[in-house]
Amino acid sequence: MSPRLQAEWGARVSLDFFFGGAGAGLLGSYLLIAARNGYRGLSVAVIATGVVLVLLGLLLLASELGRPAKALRSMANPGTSWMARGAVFNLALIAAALLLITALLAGLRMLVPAVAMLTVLCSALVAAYPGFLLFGAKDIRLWHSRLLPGLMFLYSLMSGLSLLTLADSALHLGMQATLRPAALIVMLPVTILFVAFWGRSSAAMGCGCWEGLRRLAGRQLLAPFVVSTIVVGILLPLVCYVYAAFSGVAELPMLLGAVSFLAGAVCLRYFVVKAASHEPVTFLAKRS
Amino acid sequence: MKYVMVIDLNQCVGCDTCTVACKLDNQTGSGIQWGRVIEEESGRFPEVKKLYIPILCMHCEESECLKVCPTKATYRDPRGLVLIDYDKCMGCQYCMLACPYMARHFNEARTPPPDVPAGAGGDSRKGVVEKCDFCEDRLSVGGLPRCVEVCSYDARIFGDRDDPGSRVAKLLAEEKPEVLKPEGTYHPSVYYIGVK
Amino acid sequence: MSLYRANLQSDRVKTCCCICGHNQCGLEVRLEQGTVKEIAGDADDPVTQGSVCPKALASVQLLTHPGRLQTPLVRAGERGGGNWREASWDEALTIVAGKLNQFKSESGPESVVMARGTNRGSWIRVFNRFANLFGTPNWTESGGAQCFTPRSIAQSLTFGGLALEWPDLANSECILVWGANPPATWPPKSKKLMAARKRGAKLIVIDPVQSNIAAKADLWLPVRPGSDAALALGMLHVIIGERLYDREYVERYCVGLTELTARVPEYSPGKVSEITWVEERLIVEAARLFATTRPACIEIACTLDEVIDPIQLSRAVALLACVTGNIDVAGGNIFPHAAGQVSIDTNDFILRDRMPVELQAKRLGADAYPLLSKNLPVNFPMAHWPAILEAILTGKPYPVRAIFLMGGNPALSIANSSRAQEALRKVEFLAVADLFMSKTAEMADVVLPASSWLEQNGLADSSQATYGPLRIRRKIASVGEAVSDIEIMARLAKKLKLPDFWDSEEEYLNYIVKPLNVTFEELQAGGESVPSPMIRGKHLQEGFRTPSRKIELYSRRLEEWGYDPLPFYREPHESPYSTPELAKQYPFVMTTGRRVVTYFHTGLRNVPALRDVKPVPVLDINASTARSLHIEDGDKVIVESPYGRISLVARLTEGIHPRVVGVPHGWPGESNDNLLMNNEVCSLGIGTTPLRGTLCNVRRAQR
Repeated sequence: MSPRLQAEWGARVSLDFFFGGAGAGLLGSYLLIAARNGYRGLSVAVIATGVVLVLLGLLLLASELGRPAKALRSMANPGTSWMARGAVFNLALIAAALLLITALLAGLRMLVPAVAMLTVLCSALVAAYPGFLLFGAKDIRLWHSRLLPGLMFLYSLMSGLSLLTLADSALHLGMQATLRPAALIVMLPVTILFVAFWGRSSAAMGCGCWEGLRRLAGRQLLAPFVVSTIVVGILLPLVCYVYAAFSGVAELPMLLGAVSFLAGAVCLRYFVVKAASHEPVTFLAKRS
Repeated sequence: MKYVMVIDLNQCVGCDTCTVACKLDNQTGSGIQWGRVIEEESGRFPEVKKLYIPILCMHCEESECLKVCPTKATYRDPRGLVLIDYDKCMGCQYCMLACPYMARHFNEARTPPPDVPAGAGGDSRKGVVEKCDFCEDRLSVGGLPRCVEVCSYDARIFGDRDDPGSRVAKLLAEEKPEVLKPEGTYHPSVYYIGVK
Repeated sequence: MSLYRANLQSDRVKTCCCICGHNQCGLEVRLEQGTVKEIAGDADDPVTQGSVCPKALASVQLLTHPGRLQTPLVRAGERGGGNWREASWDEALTIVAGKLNQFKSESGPESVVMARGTNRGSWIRVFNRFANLFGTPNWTESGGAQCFTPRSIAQSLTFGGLALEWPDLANSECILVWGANPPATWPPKSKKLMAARKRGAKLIVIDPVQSNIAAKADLWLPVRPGSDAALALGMLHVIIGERLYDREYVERYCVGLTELTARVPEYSPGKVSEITWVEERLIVEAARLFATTRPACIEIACTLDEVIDPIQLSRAVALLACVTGNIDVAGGNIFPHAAGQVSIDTNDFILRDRMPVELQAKRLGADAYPLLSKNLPVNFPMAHWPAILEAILTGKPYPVRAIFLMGGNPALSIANSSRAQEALRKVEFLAVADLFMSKTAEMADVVLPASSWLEQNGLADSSQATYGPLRIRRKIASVGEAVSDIEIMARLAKKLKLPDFWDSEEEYLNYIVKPLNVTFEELQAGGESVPSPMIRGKHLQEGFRTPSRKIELYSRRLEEWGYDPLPFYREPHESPYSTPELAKQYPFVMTTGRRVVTYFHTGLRNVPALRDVKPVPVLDINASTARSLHIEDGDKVIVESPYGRISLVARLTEGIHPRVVGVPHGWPGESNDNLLMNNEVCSLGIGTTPLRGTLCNVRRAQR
């Protein structure tokens, strides 16, 4: 039986995952690094950017809904539904970050460490939840892997670090010293998990993942996948970060690595969403 | 009380009368069939085995859709049916990804071919996910699901599994029926006999 | 749409469907809040027992379809331009009658063609009578030489009645289905067949494609399209050669065994296997199974008619039932009969013999195709469609100037659609009665709105639906000014001042039931059917309606008329063996006209519930063959014959020979299978345009 590609979620949902994850990763990594020097000189602009990205993700998800007016009901079932949990986490993150911005702007310095920790906790949840969300679709073997939450979390974290690199350069936050080794160190598990996730046997992944990639967009998708997620999204950043870490020249390779990783991250989420296929509904196939 | 359906694949000839009956009864839109018949082949010409397999919502006892629904629009009723409160659904389609049986359908406006008039298309369900409900309104007045009623071949048997005198209870005890995707432990309420 | 209250005593009304007219399944129509809510099979129907198909269910959508014609229309502007003005029935029929009479007096009644579609109920015979009363020898039907006529002639010649149409399934132990797919097209027979199978009856299916019923068969013989007669003769070879036939029965009831025995040796299973592409052991096994499992019956359909030698093929298949002692016995094939009402399926009813002999001789096709067009004891003689087209386009042998058409769509449904449409556009006057603006109606001068089965009173008394009890049909609703075909003919007959016709549908129905000593209204009030037992063995006792009073394995009549008195096989006029050069360019053997359960001929593709379930025309093609042509399931493909090309959607299946493809019937536009057909090579004596067993090639359409 030929694979039945899922037809419900597409580019908008994958972008939601990207923006949500990138925003969460930005907030989380920024605040973790800032914690090391007592949250001095926190940039409201960076935090606001994080909030905007998460909001953008939510808006994209809402635009995918058949009845966006009912979206407020989406938190009704956190007991078993990762989508409900995700809604809760996203709103919590936005609330925490806004609270942080308020504390900063109002000069309430004593609140900052606690709220910042809360924001970091929420950002970790937002970064992880898409992986769990997709994992929840038992019948879609590509997604039903315990590697997926880890992969999505690390991609969010790395996206955040990449955005932070860009912010650091634009706003002169003075974080290069931390970012250079951090980028390389996080890039390693990202790569490992990427290979582990896509390298699973086709039996584990279910009957149609590569077939799914191949069939999408008229059999041309395999090449774009390789180029965008592997070459641009993994290899190029690795090269850049290694170079940045071990040579004197850091600024340009870091920026290039960040941009190319982000591009690859968008694509990775797209392919994960679009290549997914259901297991065939069949009686005869198993028997022959 | 637990309603189940037993489908006899020896008897199903793939005539799609049930598909059309369901469609008419539920006023489903273009491209949506809550219940339909899939075809399966194995072997090579001329030694070909072919099955016509009616599929519909399996009203699983371990239903994935119910677990993943964020708004609790999908719920289980006391008769064992998995139902959707269309007023609560926000149309996120997560349940469609979780469903292993192609049983759920997103109601969006689709254009039929040029000479075919656009039907009602389940107007009250625009923008939400819809599916077979075992004709629960007919069950409430002592009737049978429409697909069971119109089948000329006695290919669908429906009833209360918990009633030892019912035909389904007897079939489940005597015939060793199978389910689709048993490895998924979804415990569907639709069983199949005559799979060989 | 409004309900016809007179008939509605409750909100559940029983009637019979008449979409296909062949089955007329008994149904229960349920009303709610002033509309027809839904339809279900009537389990109490004594003949159909609750069978129902998607078409009947979806008929609720016929009552409210925006495309339904609701008033008569008269052309305003160019023919085919789509501009119409509404007219009253009186005006429209005055125009039609005026024109028909005008042509009749100017060019003779033969210049007026009366044509109809396939069997959709009793009115088809009323139409034959109407045409005979008007006086034209040229009435015809889209099926005609391609449908029912060849096999009914073959059956009449062999055993004097239509026994092959009536397998006694409920009592049968072995059922041979030849070229039919009952689940898609014969719901009542299909239901009985599957019930018989469930209780242990054996099932043999002969079909190039593994159809719905073939999937349930004990033996499936995927015969090469067009080579069926060889297969039947091969099976006869086994049955006679291995002495498996019913010796006592044949001796008592049949003539011609000696001659038949002399014919079959050339059809050995080995040779037949090469011809038909069916494995030899399957042929032998099928023959043995059929002959030794008693009683056994045969179910056929119009596929047997649509080949180059249809009468020979039907005869060969009929002889299988004859030599095995299965005609007129319980569990075999039995004969239909009327329940006491006036029988419409007779030449008496259609007043065939009123036609003067000189006019009969003018019937288009009478010279070339006497079995179709000459008055014979075994046919309803009709004109030959290709000859009609020729007469319109060339004026030879005389001009045809008008067509009055009811319930048919020859623009799409007869072979060589391009030529058919050319002729329909050219003919001076065209009047059409239909439910919708069909492709043919688009080209008309006057269009008359006809009603659907839900909007008609009547009887389920056409020969294919009469199986014991006579069932009654009830009018439930009406749509605009549409009326039934019989009512249309009654009104037109009045304008034409035809004698011996009825003033109204009601008068007609009263006439039909008069021998039962009731009026039709009384009959309707009394119940749903007139009881009548199924009759078995009457002809065994009293003799068959053949010249020898026996079953004629060897037909003296055919011999007298100059045809082979025994069945034979001949290669189709176009095949890998008869035209190997052509086959190089067109390597696939094609069977066209394949049916789909949601449609009936060219109709119903505009009904939402049906079209949504079967949205596109599907080509059956072998999976390995398709992949070697880079065709995947669902791809658009082009099928091309020497005469035209069409576009279909590929369905890959293992249930078809690698060199055979199956093309569906009745789709419009660029998917119309009749664009692939030519209408110049026609069967000997009967004029069939062969539709199964021709050549084509297949390629993937451009992406």
